[in-house]
Amino acid sequence: METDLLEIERGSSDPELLQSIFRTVHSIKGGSGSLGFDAIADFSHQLESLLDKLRGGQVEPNRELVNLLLRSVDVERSLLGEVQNGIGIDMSVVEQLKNEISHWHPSVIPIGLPKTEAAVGHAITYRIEFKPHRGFFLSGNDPIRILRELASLGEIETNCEISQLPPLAEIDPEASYLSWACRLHTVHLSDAVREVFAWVTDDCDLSIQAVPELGELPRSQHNPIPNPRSVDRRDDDHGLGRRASDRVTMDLATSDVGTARQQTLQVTAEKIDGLVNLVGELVITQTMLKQSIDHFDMSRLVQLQATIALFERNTRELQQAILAIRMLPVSFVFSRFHRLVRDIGMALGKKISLAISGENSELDKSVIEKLFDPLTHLVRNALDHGLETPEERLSAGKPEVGTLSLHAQHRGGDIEIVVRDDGRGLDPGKIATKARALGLIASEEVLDAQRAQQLIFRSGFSTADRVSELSGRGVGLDVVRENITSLGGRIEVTSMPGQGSMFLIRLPLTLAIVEGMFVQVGADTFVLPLAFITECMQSNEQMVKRIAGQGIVVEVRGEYLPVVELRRICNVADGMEIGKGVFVMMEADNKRVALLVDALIGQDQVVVKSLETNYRRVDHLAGATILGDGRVALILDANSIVRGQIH
Amino acid sequence: MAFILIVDDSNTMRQMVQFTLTEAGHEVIEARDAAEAMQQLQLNNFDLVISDVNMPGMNGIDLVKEIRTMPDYKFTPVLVLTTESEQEIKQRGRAAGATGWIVKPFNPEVLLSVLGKVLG
Repeated sequence: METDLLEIERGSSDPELLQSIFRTVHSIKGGSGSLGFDAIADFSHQLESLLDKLRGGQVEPNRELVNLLLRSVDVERSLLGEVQNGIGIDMSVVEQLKNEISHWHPSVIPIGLPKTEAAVGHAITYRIEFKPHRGFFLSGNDPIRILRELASLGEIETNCEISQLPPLAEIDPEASYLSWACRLHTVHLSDAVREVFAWVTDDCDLSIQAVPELGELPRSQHNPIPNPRSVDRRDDDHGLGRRASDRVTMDLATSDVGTARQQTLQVTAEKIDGLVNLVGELVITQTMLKQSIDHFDMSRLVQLQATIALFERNTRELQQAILAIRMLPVSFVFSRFHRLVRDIGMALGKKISLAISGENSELDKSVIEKLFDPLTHLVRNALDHGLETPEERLSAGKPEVGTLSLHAQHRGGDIEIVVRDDGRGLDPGKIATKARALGLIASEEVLDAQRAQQLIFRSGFSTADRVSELSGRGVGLDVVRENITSLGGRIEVTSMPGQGSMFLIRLPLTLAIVEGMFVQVGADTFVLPLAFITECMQSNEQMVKRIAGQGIVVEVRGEYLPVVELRRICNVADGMEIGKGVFVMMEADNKRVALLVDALIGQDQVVVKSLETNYRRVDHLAGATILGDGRVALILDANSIVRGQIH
Repeated sequence: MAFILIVDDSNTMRQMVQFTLTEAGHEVIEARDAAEAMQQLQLNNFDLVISDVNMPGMNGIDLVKEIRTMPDYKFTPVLVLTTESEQEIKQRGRAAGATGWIVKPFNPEVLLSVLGKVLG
């Protein structure tokens, strides 16, 4: 709905868009009404009436209207949030917005409404509550016929209340258990509406209440004469009492649902079917294995090996399929930015178009969830600092409308996410000034572009002249980088002054499984995430240089890398000396180190088990995994090892 | 279409109702008083009964009460013919178990529109 609204604002006149928005609101209303979430149903109804006018061409879409509708989406969202999570919300905001929505009507001239002698000239909405007594049918009346007649007066919405319905075994087939809450939109006077129920006033509880839809209409003018029989409290107060009763229902609903609420994940049927197939194959393979072993002699060895290979393949496929369940398209995150970009753009008076591509690339759910904050930060930065105002852009010879693009694509076992803007880019001069002020660089040092771009990720760094409401919250790019590295990813920036900047984020597809290199130190086995390894080489004394007071470096093709001895980091007593063993070159944060290990064992995928959950956080370790022989191996945290050496 | 019993001691009224309803495609049987009506009710299975209130012999209100005691007519719509001023009759009719009323005098359109409320 949000997306559709933004599309309309962009000037699209596709009538299907309006229909789609209308349908959305309509189903929210229907759904919430039938589930008893009256507050949502009520609000949606107001919204629906306005949308109906819009659909009928009686109201012109303009920016204010779209604004109003977008805010309505927010209110709907928080109302739903209240039901879902029990987060209390300010009902006065809801009421105020409801008011605004209904005030949009006065500019509306109703057209094409049927004229009858009973007509009051414009349509009124009545809220009708109709509760037939148990013996309602005994007079030969039937609620359905009454509702049908009611429907002939205008547009009707009915909600059937079935809470009084007893279990099937206890139902008296001659008794009436149902009641209805209706909204009738009609040009007829309330007398005509009341007339429909004339025969059954004694046989039901009835309340007919005009809903003041036109803001300026005083209640007295069009209110029906109060029915002495109607004792429903909703008759007397539109305000507090009504809301209070709403709250009660919703609170009940939350407490019911809340305790049992669990995180859920939507998975396509296709993926589930795939899983079922794979499990089927696994079971067959298992049977084959059992048969091979039951009647085993050496002649069957080849067959057994083949079956085990098949078993291996099945397991791997199953593993992949299960991981795929957790995969969600990046559009999950990207789509939220349409609204953000629009709102911020408007607040800043900038014209911005958002281009999204590759949003169907899939990414692990846990990664996706943690991606929103850093991405939001980058997007805000780009909007606030990167992109210029239309005037600035025009005078710089650029198109008036700035472009912000979000792009995602798979690359190997990783996903790349790019946030690019065509704004003014990073200003090395400004960065240098700031860096000097912070004491990050010497005052005479000249910054090259590469260096400047690294500096912006340092803590406390912001080149914004003023603290703006949008991105100046004291949270800098250092936090973004931290977020990304905690996900096992990297972030880089490239920028051309005057042409814009590009932030590139590389993330592993999942956190649950990493491709790891098994290395040996002493009697212990460790796992190094393969993504950080650039190369491995046998160490020899010639390539090692000892620098007094600065530790040991190793020369690799003319480049000197600091040496980190894993045996020292991990306190393994019998690890090999430098000169023996193998150097594993690791790269993180654009820094490289050479890690000394005894030997390489091999590489495989490992399932990451959290240390924090099971033990506690340990420096230089990202987690643990269980090896094929049942032993536990520790997974090294490449980022922290590299950082620990550099700083 | 519906099978309807009209009970009224007035010839004109019966004929008018009969004509209008037959024109509209319904099948109508006439009864001049409550006793005739009871006979017809036992012989046939009507979809709707329309009865006058002031009749010689058993009045319409009591007829409605009788009808409601018959198992086959527990839920059958029964309309009584009243005049606008006869508020009390309406209430008595309702209390006796009538479904509703038709206010006299009426023209064919009104009759048919009221029938729409109880048939179909």
